[in-house]
Amino acid sequence: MALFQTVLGVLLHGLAYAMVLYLISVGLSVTMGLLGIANLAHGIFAMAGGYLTMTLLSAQGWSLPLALAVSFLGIATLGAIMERLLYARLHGASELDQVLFSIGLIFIGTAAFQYVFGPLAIRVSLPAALRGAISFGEFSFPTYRALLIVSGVAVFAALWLSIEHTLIGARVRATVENPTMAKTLGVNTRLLYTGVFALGSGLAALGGSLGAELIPLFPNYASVHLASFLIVVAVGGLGTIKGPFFAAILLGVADTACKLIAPDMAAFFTYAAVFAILTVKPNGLFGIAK
Amino acid sequence: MTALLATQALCKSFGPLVVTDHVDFVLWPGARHALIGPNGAGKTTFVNLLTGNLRPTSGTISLLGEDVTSLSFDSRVRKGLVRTFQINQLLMALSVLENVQLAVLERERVGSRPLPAVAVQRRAAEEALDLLEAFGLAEVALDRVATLPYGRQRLVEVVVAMAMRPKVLLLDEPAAGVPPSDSRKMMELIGSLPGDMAVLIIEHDMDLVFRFAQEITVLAQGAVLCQGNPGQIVDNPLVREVYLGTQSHG
Amino acid sequence: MNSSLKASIIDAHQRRDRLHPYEVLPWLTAALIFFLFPQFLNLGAHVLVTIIFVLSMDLLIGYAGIVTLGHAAFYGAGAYAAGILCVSAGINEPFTGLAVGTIVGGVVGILSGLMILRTRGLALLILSLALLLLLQEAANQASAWTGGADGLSGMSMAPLFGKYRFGLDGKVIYLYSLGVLFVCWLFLRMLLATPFGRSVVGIRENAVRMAAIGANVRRRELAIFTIAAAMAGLAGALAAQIDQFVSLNMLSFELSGMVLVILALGGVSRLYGAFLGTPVFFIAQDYLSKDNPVYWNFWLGLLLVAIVLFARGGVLGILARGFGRMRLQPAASSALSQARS
Repeated sequence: MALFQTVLGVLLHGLAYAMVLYLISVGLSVTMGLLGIANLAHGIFAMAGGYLTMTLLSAQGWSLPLALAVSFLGIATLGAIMERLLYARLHGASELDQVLFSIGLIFIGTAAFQYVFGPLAIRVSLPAALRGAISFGEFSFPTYRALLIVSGVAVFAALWLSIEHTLIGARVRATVENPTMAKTLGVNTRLLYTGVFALGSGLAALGGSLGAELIPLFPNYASVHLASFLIVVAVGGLGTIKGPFFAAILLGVADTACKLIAPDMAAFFTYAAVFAILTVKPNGLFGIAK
Repeated sequence: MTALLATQALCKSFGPLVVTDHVDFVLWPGARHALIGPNGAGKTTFVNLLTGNLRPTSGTISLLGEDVTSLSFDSRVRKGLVRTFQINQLLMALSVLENVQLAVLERERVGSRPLPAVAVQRRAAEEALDLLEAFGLAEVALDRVATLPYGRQRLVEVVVAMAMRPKVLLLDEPAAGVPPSDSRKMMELIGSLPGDMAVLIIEHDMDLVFRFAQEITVLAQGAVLCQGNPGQIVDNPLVREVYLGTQSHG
Repeated sequence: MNSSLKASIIDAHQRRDRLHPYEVLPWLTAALIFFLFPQFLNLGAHVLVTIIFVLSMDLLIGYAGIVTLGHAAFYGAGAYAAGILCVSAGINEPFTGLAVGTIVGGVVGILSGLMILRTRGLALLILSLALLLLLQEAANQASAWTGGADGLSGMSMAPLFGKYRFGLDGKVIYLYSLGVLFVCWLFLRMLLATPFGRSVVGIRENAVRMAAIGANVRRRELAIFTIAAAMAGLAGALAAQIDQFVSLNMLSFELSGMVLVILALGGVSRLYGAFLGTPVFFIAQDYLSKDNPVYWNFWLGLLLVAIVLFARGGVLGILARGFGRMRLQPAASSALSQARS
């Protein structure tokens, strides 16, 4: 029984962490697949969203749903503006230029947040309703983490349904597959790029906000967690909704399990596994060969 | 006489889609052979199979009597099978001269030499310049390829292939995108290829095909529809039906 | 076209590989600093070492066109190799340490290159980053050998040539670093002019074309990757020796990022980008982060974004565009324009 509880605990805690990773990374995966831009600075959107939500919660005393909605919309708008003004210029730029550009954005973002909020991680104040735990007999699980799992799965389901079963989704899929063809078929790819980028940024903001207790918000957030986000995208495969979902679960649960069994070696095993997976399957586990 | 290049029952499918269907094909020394067929007939796939850019699903390819089915693209090149591409594949930031010079160096097997080879490099550059001069490109020798108009780049693409002194040369639509001003030069260039070299050309320009080819293979839906000299092809009712009939060719 | 015109075209073509008078400038500057600014010799030695590291990255990114985020892996591997050799094995002769660092960097390079170079694009970026983080974690865990998070201290180097001690005035480490840099520069200058060096540039421009003229692209890429890794290992070993200290920062993403930034600043695939970008970076960092390191990061970020959007090719790129018209040898260019008219 104790073993069962441990396993269940690892699974659920891993899943909660995985959903945060998913929310943040899915936008990165889709924009990379769609725009072909290696946007290493994607974490900035998650961080900005997290900071915005926490400020609205603690300084303004807003309710969590309202703060999340404003943060989502605010960062999505920011994403749209940045796509139009900056990222649009990177289409067809060399890989090196994309890497340099996004590293530059990371530096700017890091400095800006450090200037405004100071160098330390900010305190996360959860609403009272989320501070408790849900219990099933002897097993209990934090309400907040349960919310993470529910939101992650809900976002995944919504994205998956809209990509697979709506017209806009079909356009996105067509554009990932063959942009020139999609354009000739009358898809407004320019608008689509901006829209998808905005959505991806908004979701990252959601992930950064909801995940703030698991992944603390501090100015170096975007560069420190860059590897995790990129790994989810690469292992999952570019340009899909499903790929990063399962990759995030794999990574989240494995990481949580490793931390329990061999805490010192967790990071080592994770990187070794990623190295092995990508060496064997360079397009990721669920990726389409391009 | 042994065939320079031959395929036996060559097949390629992508999933359920069969794009090359049991093709038997032979190229003899000195051949001037054209591969034609309507769009989607699988011409480019077939060439990619010959060169090793694609792996066949089944069947064999032999080069100079040797089975090369499992050899990579670049090792087939080293054995004398050279191709040009439908869309230029050139070193755009380098000079025209260096594009050709590098080909000469690779042909001479010194491309991997990490030691200074000033004399060798100079000789290679001289050979490259002579070749460029022969086709009226010497005056742009020092220009970056990127600065040339597309038709000119197309000529460079063929000159680079010639610098390899191939035994078998595959020309994938050499005249595509070449403006009339340069197309005569292209014809000249193709016409001047050494007599013992086997040449296979894939081309849509029927003028060029009929002027150049002594032998024509018609591909339709991945399979060989028929083969023969230009006269036989023009008279073949099958060809008229699937190919010439559908195109408004005079 | 007559033969003298041809000869002048060939000369103009070969000219790139010959030494130019201005190439003496970096060495002249280095000598001047040694004699005129003795107070900067310690800092100067670090600049020189960083130039070697940046050069090795330019070889990979600028010349071979292989963009990685993990180049610090080889630098760190070389540094730890030299450090462990000195502290644990007690072998503290400087040149032996350099040789071991170079070999370890090269071996890690060839082994990881075999796997990393099978991929392209994002997968390559992430694999290289994963390799770096993997090594960093390994160094962190193997604290018996590496000192873990505290770093590896207690390196005391034997005198150079058995004679010159690594003193506090920085004279010996400055000249030592300068000598190593000179050898590296000479090697690269030669390598890039060889058929192999040019074919690597060809692969950067168009790998399909190079395969189409019979080059084994994968093998050449592995070769250049290994050379770049070995040189990074050399730089790491040298850095460890002059600092007499190795830390986990030498295996960090931040370091890879910093070197990328320097390269972008000076100019990619220009060899002298490293010579120009590194001192500019160090001076700017010193000047801008005096008040608050936050500003430094901000300006650095802004600069990077601006370089990508407006000034591709960095400082040297801007200079080259200015002087671009002067490239052809006068004789050849006038003869050519005659031939054209």
